Amino acid sequence: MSDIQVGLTGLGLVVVLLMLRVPIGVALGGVAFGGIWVLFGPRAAWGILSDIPYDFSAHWTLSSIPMFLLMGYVSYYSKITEGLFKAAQVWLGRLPGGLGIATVAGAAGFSAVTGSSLAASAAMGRIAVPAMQEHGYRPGFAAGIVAAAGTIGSMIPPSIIMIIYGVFAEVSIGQLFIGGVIPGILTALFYSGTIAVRVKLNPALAPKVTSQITWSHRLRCLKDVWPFMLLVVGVFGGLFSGIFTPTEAGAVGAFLAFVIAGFMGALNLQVTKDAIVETIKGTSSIFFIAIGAALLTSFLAISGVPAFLSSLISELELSQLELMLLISLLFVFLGMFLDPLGCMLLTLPVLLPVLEAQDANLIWFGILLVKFLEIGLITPPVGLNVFVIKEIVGNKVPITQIFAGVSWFIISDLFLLALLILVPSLVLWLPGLVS
Amino acid sequence: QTVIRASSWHPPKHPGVIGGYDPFMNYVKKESNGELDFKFWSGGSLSNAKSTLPTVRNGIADIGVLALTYFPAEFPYAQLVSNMAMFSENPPAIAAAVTELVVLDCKPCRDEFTSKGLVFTSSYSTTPYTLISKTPIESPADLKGKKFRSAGTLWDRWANYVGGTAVNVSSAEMFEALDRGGVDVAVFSPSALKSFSLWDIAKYDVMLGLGTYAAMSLFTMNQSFWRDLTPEQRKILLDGSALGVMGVTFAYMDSDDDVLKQAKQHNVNIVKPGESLVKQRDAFVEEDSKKLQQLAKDQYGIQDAEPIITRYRELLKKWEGIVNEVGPDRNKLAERMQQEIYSKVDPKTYGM
Amino acid sequence: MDTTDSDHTHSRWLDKVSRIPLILGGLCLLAMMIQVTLDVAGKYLFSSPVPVTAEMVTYYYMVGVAMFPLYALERGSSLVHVEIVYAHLPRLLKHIVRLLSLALAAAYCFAVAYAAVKPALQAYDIGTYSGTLYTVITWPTRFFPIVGFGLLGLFLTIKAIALLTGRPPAEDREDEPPETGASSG
Ligand code: NA
Ligand code: NA
Repeated sequence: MSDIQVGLTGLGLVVVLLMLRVPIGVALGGVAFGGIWVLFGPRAAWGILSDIPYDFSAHWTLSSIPMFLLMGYVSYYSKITEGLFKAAQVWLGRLPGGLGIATVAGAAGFSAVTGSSLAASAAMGRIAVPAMQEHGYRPGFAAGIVAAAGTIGSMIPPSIIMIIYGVFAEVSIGQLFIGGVIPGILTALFYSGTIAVRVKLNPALAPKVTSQITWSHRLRCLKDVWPFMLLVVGVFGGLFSGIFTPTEAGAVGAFLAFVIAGFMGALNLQVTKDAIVETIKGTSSIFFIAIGAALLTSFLAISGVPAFLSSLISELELSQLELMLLISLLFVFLGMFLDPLGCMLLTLPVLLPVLEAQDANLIWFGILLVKFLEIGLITPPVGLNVFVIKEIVGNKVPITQIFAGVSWFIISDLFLLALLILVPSLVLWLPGLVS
Repeated sequence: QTVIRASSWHPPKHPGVIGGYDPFMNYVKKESNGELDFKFWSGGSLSNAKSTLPTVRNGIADIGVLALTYFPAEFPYAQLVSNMAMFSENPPAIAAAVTELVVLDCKPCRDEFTSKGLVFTSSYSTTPYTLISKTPIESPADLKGKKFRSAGTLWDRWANYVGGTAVNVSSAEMFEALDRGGVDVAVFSPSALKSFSLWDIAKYDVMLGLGTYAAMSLFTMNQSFWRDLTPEQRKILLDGSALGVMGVTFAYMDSDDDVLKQAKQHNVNIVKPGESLVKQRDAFVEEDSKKLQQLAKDQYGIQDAEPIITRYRELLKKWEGIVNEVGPDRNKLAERMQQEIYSKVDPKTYGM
Repeated sequence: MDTTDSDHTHSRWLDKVSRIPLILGGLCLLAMMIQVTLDVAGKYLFSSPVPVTAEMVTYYYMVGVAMFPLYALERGSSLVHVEIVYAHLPRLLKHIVRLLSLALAAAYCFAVAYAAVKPALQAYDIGTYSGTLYTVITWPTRFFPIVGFGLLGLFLTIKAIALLTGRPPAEDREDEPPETGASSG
C-alpha cells in the first residue's frame, strides 16, 4: 500500500469506528497511532503519541476556551443572562425563530471579542441553548443554531486563523480583518434567514409567543438586562481600549461574571461549584477529542493525503472558477476530518503557488479559506464546534441531532460561499476603501 | 536511494525555506547524484516550532529547524549564545561565527545535541532587531514606561534597563496587541513589518540595532539517520548546510531591504536612531556583558562560560573580516564556511 | 448530576479519592482566571505584569484543566460518541460492540499515558523550565497526562469488567433521549 492509500484507508476506518460507538477522540487518535505505526514504525508512532496530547494542551491562546466556557456557565447559573433572553423573547417573540435570530446576532457580536470559533461557541452555548429550550425550541434545532453561529467567531475580526493565514501567505492581516466584516455579517444574515425559513416551514421547531404583549411590559423587561450589559461593556471596552487581548478577554470576562453575580446576590457555593465542575469537565472533553483530531492531522500530514489531493488540483489547467470549485470540494472533504489549522497548513504550501499563478486575489482567497475552515467545524464526523455544543447540552441531545440541526446552516453557508466566489467585491470592497 | 524527511515550521515563503531548505536540498540532490532525495514539510505541517524537537528526536523527521531559546533547559549553551546577541550587527558574520563556535570550538555545545540523539550542523542569523512602534522614539525618555514585545531573555533585560516593561504576547497576538495598545513597541527585524503586517498599524521603525537572533539550529540531524549515512553523504550534507546558513541570512537581509523600500507606501517612517539612544544601548551592552558569566552560571548552570565568550568574540572578529573581504556574496561566503569550518570536520567521526 | 449511578460500579473510597483530580482541575481553572485578571490589571494600572503568567497558564493551568478531569468523562457517557448504527443493533451484538469499544478506549488511554512516561522522565532529568527574567519549572506538568489518561483508562477498564460480569452501567439507558419539550408549539 502506498502512503496515500494508508491515509485514505485510515479515514475510512475512522468512520467505521465512529459507527461502532467508539468515542470520537479514541477513534481519531487510535487510527492515527496505528496509521503512523504502519507508515513510519513503532518509534514514530509512540513518539507522536507522547508529544501531541501534552503539546496540544499546553497552549496559551487556547486558554480562552475554558475561560469563556466558565463565563458562560457562571452567567447561566447566576441568571445574569436571564433578563436578556426574556427581553429578547418579548421583543422578538413575534418574529419566526426570534430567539434563534437573537442568538445569531449575539454570536456575531461576540465574534468581535474573540479570535476563535470554539471560544465563541463555548461562550454562547450555555447561555443561549437553555434559553431557547425553555421557550420550546426543539433541542437539535437550538443546539444547531449555536454550533453554526459560533463559526462567525473567526470571520468577524479579530481572528486567529486570519493572522496565521496572513503570515503564511504574506498578505496584510489588517486587510483580511476588514475583508471579513461583510462576509461575517452576511453569514449572520444568512443564518437568520435560514432560521426564519425553517420555522415558517415547520412552526413546531420554535413556537411563537401567542399572548398579547404590551409596550409597557416590553419596556419593563429592558431593566433586567443590565447585568448582561455590564458584562458586555466590560469585555468589549477592555478589549477595544487595548487593556487586554482576545485571549485574556476570556479570563477577565469570567472574573466579571463572578463579580456581577455577586452584586446580584446570585453567587453562592453551589453556583460556583456547578460552574467550575461543568467547565473543567467540558474543557477536558473538548480537549480529549481535539487531541485525537490533532493526532489524526499528524497522521494525514505524514501520509501526504492533503498535499496529494492539492497537487492533483494544481496540475490541472483550470479557469479560476473551476479552480475555486475544486478547492471548495477539497476543503469540504478535508474539513470533515481535519482541524482548521491542520487543514490550512497542509494544503496552502501547494495551493498558494497555484493561486498566485492564476493571479487570484489572496485577501479574497483568505476570506474564502476562513469560510471553508469554518464549515469544517460543523461537518461530520469531526465537527469541533458541534462537539463543544454537545459538551454543553450534555446527554439531553444526541450528537446526530445536533449535526442534523446544523446541516441547514451548512447549506446556507454553501450558498454564501458561492456568492462570495462569484462576487469577490463583497469581500474586497471594504478593504479597498481603507487602503 | 535514501529519501530524507525534512521538516521546517517556517512558512513556504519565509527566508528559512526559500533561502535555507530549498538551496540546501537542491545542493544535496545534485551532489549525491540523486542518491539522496527529500520529502519536505514546511509551514509547520509536520511539526511546529516546539514539537520539532521531539519530531526529529523520534526520527519522524530526519532533519528539522530548532529555535533553541524554546528549550532553555535542554540547550543551556545555546542560551549563552542567545545572550551574546548584541555583540555584533553583521548577520553573515554572526551566522558563520555561531556555526564555527559550535561545530569546531565548543564541545559542550555539540554534546547538548548528541546527548539527545541529535547532531548540530549549522546556525543562521536574522537581521538586527529594531523598534517598531506607533509613536516616535527619539530619546531614552521615550522608552520609559513603554510595553515591549520581545524575542527573549536578553531583550527583556534590555526593556527593564530602559525603564520599560517586557510583556508576554504570542506572535499570533502581536498585531492585535500593537494595534490596541497592549504593546507599545515590538522588538523585531524590519521584515516583521511585512510578515506580521505590522506596517498596517505601526508608524515608526527605529533602526536601533538590538542584536540578531542566532540561537538556531537550521539543519538539526537525527543521530541514527546521520549514522546510517556514508561519510561522503555526511560531507555533502555539511557542505550543503553552509549554503543554507548564508542563504537564510541573506534572504533575511533581502527581505529587510525590500520592506524598507516599501515602508513609505505603508506610511511607516524608517528612523535613524538618535545619538542618545545609541549611547544608551552601548551602555547596556557593556554592563550586560559583564554580567554574562555570572548569568551563565546562575541561570544556565554553565561553569566554563568565559573561554566560550572569548572565543565567540574572536570568531566574530574573524568573520567580520572575512565578510568585509569577500563582500555581500552568499555563495562565496558559503564557500568560505566550507573551507574554514566543514573541511576541518571529520565526517567519519563528527556527531557520532 | 450523575453521581448516584456510580455507586454500583465503584467502591465508595475510590469515589472519594477520585475526586482529588477533579478538585485539582478546578483549582487550575480558578487560578487561571485570577492570575490572568491580576496580570491584566497589573499591566494596565501599574505597568507591572504578574511574573510568569503566560508560563503558568500554558503549562500548569491549561494542561491541568485539560488532563485532570478526564477520568470524570467515563461517567454519564461524556466521552462523546455517535449512535447511528449502534442504536439499531440487536441486543447481544450491542453488548459485544459496547464491550469492544470500551476496551479500545481503555487501551488508547493507557497507550497515551504510557507514551507520556518517557518524555516526563526526560523532562524531570533535564529539569525543564520556561520563562525569561523569571522562570518556572515545567517538568511536573509533563506528568499530568499520565495521571489524566491513566485514570480514565482505569475507570474505563472497571466499567468494561462490570459489563463483562453482567452488570451494565446505569448510563447505558440515557443514550436515546426523549424529545423533551419538542412539541409544545
Ligand atoms: Na472574531
Ligand atoms: Na468537520
